[in-house]
Amino acid sequence: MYSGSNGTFDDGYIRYVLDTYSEPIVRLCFSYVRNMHDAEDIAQDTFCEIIKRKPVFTDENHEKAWLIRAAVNKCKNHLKSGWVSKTSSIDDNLSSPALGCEDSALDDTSRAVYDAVMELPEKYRTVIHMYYYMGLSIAEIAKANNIAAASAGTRLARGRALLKKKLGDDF
Amino acid sequence: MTDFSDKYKKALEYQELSPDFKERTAKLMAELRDADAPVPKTADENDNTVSPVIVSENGGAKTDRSKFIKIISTAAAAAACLTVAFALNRAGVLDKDSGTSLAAADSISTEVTDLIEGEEQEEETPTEAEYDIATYDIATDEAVDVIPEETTAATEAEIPAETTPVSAYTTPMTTEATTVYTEEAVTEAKKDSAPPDAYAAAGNVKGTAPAVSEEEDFPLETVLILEPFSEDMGEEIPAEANEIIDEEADDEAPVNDDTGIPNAARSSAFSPQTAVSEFPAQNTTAVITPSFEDIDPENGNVVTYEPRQVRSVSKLIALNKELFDFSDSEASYSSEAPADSRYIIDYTDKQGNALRIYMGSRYICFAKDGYYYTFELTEEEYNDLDSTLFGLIS
Repeated sequence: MYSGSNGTFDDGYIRYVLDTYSEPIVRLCFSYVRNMHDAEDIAQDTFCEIIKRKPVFTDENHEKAWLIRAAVNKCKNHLKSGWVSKTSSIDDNLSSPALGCEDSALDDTSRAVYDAVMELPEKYRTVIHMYYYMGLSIAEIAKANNIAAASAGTRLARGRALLKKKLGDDF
Repeated sequence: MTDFSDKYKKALEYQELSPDFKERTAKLMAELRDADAPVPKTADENDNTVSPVIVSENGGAKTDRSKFIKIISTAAAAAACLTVAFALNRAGVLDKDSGTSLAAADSISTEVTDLIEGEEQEEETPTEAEYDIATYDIATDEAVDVIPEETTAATEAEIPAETTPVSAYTTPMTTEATTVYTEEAVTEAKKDSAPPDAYAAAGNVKGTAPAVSEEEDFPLETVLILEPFSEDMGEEIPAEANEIIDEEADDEAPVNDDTGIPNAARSSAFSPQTAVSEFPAQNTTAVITPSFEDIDPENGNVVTYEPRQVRSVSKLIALNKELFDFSDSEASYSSEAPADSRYIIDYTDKQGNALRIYMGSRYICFAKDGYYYTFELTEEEYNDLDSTLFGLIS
C-alpha cells in the first residue's frame, strides 16, 4: 500500500525517495548528458523539486513518472543552456564517455554494448535507455518525452537498427 | 534481446554514483523543507496524470530566468524606442511640415542655381552689334494695349523687324514661365508707363537691356526665362502676324537647326541623374506600372501584376539610384514614347512636377519636356533594374 509523502516530506520520505530513485534517475540523466558529475547535479535538482513543488502522488507509478519527467526536462534544459551548447567537454570529443572502472573488470561485450549505446544520437539513446535499463513501456516513454507513442516506437526501432548495425550478432 | 539488456545494465552499473550523493541530496532536501520556502502551487500540480503542465513546473528556475530576461529585454527595447523617438523629434523628422520645408528648400536652391546661370547668360550673350536703338521706337501705350496677356510672343510681335535679336532675348523656357514673364512685363509696363522710352533715351540697347531688369524690379522668374537665341535666329516678324505667332509660340520651343529639336531637348543636355534627382525621396511618390504578364509554371495560369505605388523613402532612394546607375551611354531622343516597355514609372512630387520613365528590354527611356531620351542598357544593367522593379511590384 502506497503511503506517499502524506504531505509532510519528512526525513523518512526523503530517504525512501533517494533509496528508490537515485540510481535510475542519475543513470537516466547520464544517458542524456553523458557526464556523471552533471548527471548527479541534475538528479539532485530533480529531487529538490519534490520539496519545492510538494506534489501529491496517488501511487508509485505516478511518483516514478513524475520524477522521470522532471529529470528529462532538467536534462533538456541543461543541454539547451548556453554554457553547455557553446562548450564541449573532453568526454564529448571521445567516441563515448569513459567508464569509471578498470577495463579488466568489464567484459568486452558489455563494454561494446555500452559504447554503442552512448554513440547513438540523443533521441535514440534515451529511448533505448528507458526501454532496456528502466523497463518503461512505449507509452511511458512517450509520456516522459512528451511525444506520441508512435514516435517513441519509431525512435526505439531506429535505435535498435543502429545498434544492430554496430553490434552485429551481439544485439 | 534480454542478453543485450543485461549487458547494458552491467556496463552502466560500473558507472558508480558518488558515495555521498544520497547524503548530500538528503541534506539539501531537508534544508529546503526546513526553510519552508513558499512556492505557489498550481492546480495542475495535484493532477493525477503526468500532464504537460508538470513539465513546465519542473523547469521552474529556468522559467523564472526567462521571465526576467523577457522583462529586461522589453525594458531595453522600450528605452531604445524612446531614445530614437526623441532623436527624431529633435532632428525635426517627425514634424508634419518637414516634407514641405524640405521641398521648399529644394526649390529655393534650384532657383538660386538657375538665377546664377541666368545672370551669366545675361552678361555674356548680348553684344552691341545685336542691339539697335532704332528697334525700340515703340510707343509704350500701344505696346501695352496690343500685347495679349499670357503670351510671350506678344512682346516680340510689337517689336519691328530690326528688333529680332532683342525679342530673341525673351525666349520662353516653358509655357508656365512664359506666362509669368508676360504678366509681369505687362504689369510693370503699365506701372511705369514707358519702358521703351527708357530704352530710347539710353541711346543703346546694351545698356538698357540689363537696366530694365533693375529698374522695373523683375522677379526672379523673369530673369530665369531669359535666354539668348543663337545668331542664326530671328526673322522679321510683321506686326500683323502677332496673333498667329502668339498661338504657335505657346506650344513650340525655338529651334536652332533643321532637326526641329529645341536646344533644351538636346540629348547631350539631358542627364538622367539630374532628372531623377529632381524628385527627392522625401517629397515624391512613384507609381510603377508593369505592362507584362507571366505564366505560372505550376498551373500555367496567366499572372498579371497590378500597378504599385512606392512611398517608402528608403525604397525610393534605392530606386532613384538604380534608375540612373547605368553606363553613361549617349541618349537617343525622339518624340514618340516607346511602345514595348515592361514598366512605366511615374514620379510625382508635392509641387505637381512629374517625370515618366519607361523601362523595356535593354533600354530605359526618360520622358521630359515632350521628348523621350532613351539609353541602352547592358544585359547586367537591365537585369539589375528589372529585378529591382519586379521586387517592388511583387
